[in-house]
Amino acid sequence: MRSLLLIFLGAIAILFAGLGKKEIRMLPWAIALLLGALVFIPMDWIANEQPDWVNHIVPYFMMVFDRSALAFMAVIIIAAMLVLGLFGQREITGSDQLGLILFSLCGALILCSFTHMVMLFLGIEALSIPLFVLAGSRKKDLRSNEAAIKYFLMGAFSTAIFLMGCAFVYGGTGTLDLSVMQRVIPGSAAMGGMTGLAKTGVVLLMTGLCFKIAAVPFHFWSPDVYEGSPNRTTLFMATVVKIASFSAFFRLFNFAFSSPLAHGNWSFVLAILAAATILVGNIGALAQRNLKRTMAYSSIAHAGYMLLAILANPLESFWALIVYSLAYAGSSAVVFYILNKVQEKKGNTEFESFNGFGRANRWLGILLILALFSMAGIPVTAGFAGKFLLFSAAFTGFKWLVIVALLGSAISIAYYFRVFRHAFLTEADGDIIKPEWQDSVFLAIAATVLLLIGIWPALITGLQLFELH
Amino acid sequence: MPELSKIPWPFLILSFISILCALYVVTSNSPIRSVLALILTFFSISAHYVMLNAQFLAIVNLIVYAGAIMVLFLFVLMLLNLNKETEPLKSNKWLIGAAVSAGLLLLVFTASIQTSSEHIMRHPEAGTGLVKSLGKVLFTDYLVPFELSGILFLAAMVGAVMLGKRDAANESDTEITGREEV
Repeated sequence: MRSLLLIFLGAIAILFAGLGKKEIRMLPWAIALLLGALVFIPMDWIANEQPDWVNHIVPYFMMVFDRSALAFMAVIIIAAMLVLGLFGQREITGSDQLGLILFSLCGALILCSFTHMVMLFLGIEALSIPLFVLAGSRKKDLRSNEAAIKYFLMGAFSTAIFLMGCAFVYGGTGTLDLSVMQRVIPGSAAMGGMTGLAKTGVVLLMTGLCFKIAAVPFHFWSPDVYEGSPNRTTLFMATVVKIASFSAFFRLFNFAFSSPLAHGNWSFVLAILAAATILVGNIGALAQRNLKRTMAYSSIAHAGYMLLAILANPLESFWALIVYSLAYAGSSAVVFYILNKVQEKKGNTEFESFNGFGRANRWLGILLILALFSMAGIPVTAGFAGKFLLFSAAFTGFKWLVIVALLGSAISIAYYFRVFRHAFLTEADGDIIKPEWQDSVFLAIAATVLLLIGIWPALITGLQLFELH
Repeated sequence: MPELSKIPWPFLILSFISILCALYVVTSNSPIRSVLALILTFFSISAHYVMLNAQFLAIVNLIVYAGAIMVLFLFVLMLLNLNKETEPLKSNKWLIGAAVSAGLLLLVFTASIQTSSEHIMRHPEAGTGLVKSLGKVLFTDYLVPFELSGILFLAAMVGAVMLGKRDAANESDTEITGREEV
């Protein structure tokens, strides 16, 4: 709660600080704000020892900051810090953009901690509405305009479907409160299973959330939007928005609809979506000639892997999802930073622009390899730890899906290797890129996250989380 | 489902009007006519709200949708001067796909509502939809979401101002990407 309040009040302060004529550099303040919010999380973690939130929940508060929420909040705040830290120098155009990013972050934090559908809806909207604007923040760039209007239309559409789902679930269970819902749905099992209304509602909710995480077949907007948006916004969408949506997905489906009967109803549909997402994302990425578009397809594929965590036993898959999210956020930040720098030099993000990059910049080259390895899931990186934990959690229930996911990972190596080939194995001379010291600090943080979790995943999985149910 | 004779007749008439108008919205070739039909649809839906004892919602629905949004819609249509020629071509494949998916959705919805009719057919208590009781709920049980929706509106407002304002910073942005294609 303290983190959320701090970020919200800080966002307003930053917004109003931009009122004056004089240009003040707001970015250090924003990063300090996020750091402050991050410090509160271990404090809340230690203070929070009540064993299960269902009995300790304040009825009309509609949010609970239990340990599972705090873990996701920490990941999201770290991801947001990387976004702000790595893209602060070039793309900053005022306190209004910064304020919007922080408002969006408030929405993301609500998505980690809701216990009521109203809060879930508010969180999704607070997350998306600033992003519609940020996607189109380059007003003179036609692609940015296209991205904004596509994102807005798709967002509005998915919100409508999501709300319809809320209405149906309310009709089927008589409540919008997650803990009551959890109690009601197994109860109705004895009386002949979930009502038809609740089933339809669950499918509609799933559809609405799948739009947000860009799962197949609701992914068509994502490559165009990712390509057209400014790089910082794309990174924010790919990391913060996706992780927050997954935390909402996880909470909703593994708390409210977690009874074995309900799980049996939705898990098969979701498993098929996950398999399709993994295959379409990876095969689509193979066909691209532009790194930014490749990253968009690769993020679709990553959403597919992360869906495994929703399907698996939540006690096993929770930490897997956290590790995977951290790995994904760290490696995306590094790749997008390099992509942004190359775009500034060359004007585009075609693969040819990366020719000779690794020869010209030794340290950035090594970082790029580390990030690509982590994305592909090669050992000693965090991506491998995340994939290993995810796949082993899902293996008991969904063997065929894990096989599909392994196949997808194998395909993914091909296009990650293509980046590697252009950066290291071509003769051309690349441009020398000198990161500023602030950038170096955040790149070092990202690299540390990737290596440390890769070598020692127990650092995170060893944390004590109480019974999720 | 209850028998047809048990359904109150105003409900039948209103539903008939709203379905008819909604059909006209999608079948009419002239955008202006479909917008006008949409306004009628909103009016009949508002009347449904009144029947469900949700008077406040009915009025808000009228003010916001039939009033503000539809007038905006009309303005945009008239300013853009859309007519039959500028309407994008729709191929048959597209139409068949839309019809099949919409039909499936209708099937699922009717089936799910039919199997659980007792849940939804309960009559609401008198006075639930009045401003007084709504306000009471909003400022007690739903206070936190009510306050948090402030974030949402503030963000939307800031975003609208940001998109609308004229600034010099964006000119330099296009130079960075150099991807201005017309």
